[in-house]
Amino acid sequence: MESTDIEIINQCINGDPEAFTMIVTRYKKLIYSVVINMVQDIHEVDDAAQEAFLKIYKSLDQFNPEYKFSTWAVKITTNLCIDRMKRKQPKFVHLDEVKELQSNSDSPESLLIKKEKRRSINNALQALPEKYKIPLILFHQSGLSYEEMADVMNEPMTIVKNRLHRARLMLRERLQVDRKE
Amino acid sequence: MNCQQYEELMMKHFDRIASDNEITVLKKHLEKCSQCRYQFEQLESIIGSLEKDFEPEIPAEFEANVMIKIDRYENTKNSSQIKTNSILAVMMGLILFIPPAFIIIDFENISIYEILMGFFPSLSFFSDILLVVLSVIKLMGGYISGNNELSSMMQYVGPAIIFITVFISISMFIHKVDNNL
Repeated sequence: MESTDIEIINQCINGDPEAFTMIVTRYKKLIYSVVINMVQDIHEVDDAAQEAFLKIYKSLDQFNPEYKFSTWAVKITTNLCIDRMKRKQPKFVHLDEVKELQSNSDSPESLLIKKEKRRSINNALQALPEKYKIPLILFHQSGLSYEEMADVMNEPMTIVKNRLHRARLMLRERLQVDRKE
Repeated sequence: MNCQQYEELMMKHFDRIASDNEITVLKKHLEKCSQCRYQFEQLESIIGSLEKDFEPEIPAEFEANVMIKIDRYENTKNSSQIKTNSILAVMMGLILFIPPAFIIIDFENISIYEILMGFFPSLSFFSDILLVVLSVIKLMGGYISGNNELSSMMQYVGPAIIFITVFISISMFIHKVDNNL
């Protein structure tokens, strides 16, 4: 039977750091999805994701088992990415270097159109203020619920909800402006 | 209901919390209102792209790289603990050693010149270090006893140094115990 998150955490705290590999395998997709949209330099994504897991490991003794581990881990990752963004000059992600989901039914032309669309959406997303960009990433990319987002962002749920709604409209307006240009 | 309210229904739909009835009401409105339909289709396309069209490729060696970082962190933590333990041990040793040394050693019969000349060819390293330390203490003692003002201050300096050393050692010990707990 697979170990629970709290069982693995206790193993790590009691002197078995190798057990943390299971946590990494379990949550790497989630953490990566948060990092890749917040750390704008593609070359830094891998390093930032590794740093996020290291920070999570160092903080294991502070984890409260009353809460969901995934939410707590995303919170640490989000804060780490925000700190990194503040230290560095923003650069847009080069989508050429990121693998995209390819459907067998996609023709080369539709793949190109999809890629271009994704690029423009991503550019518009990165141009949003942080307080609007983060809920979009957490909800639509990382799949967090409103309760989880409220916990990660340290904001009441009503504010998170309003920001997410506002963010969607801002993203749409931004893309309309870009299209006109 | 006005378009503003239908916009809120759209948001509920994208939040995945709209009831079947609400979705039906929304769809009926979208059939009639081209502005809302246009907005809905744009948002659907953008959010669909955010959620589905993109999946980051995580390097195969990602877990291994994270565990390397964790191993390095654990090794650094252990060597810091060893350093702290060594400093504590030296300080406790000094506290225990210095007062008896003053009582036991007969300063009158130690020749500084002979000690220094004997130090360099000697192989008994720790004994020579001890003798050099004692001869420095003797030199300082000789200088201080010749100076009345300094001599009167010395009665306070000795106990103050011992007190500070004990205080720092106990603080470090308590800090170490707290970390282990």
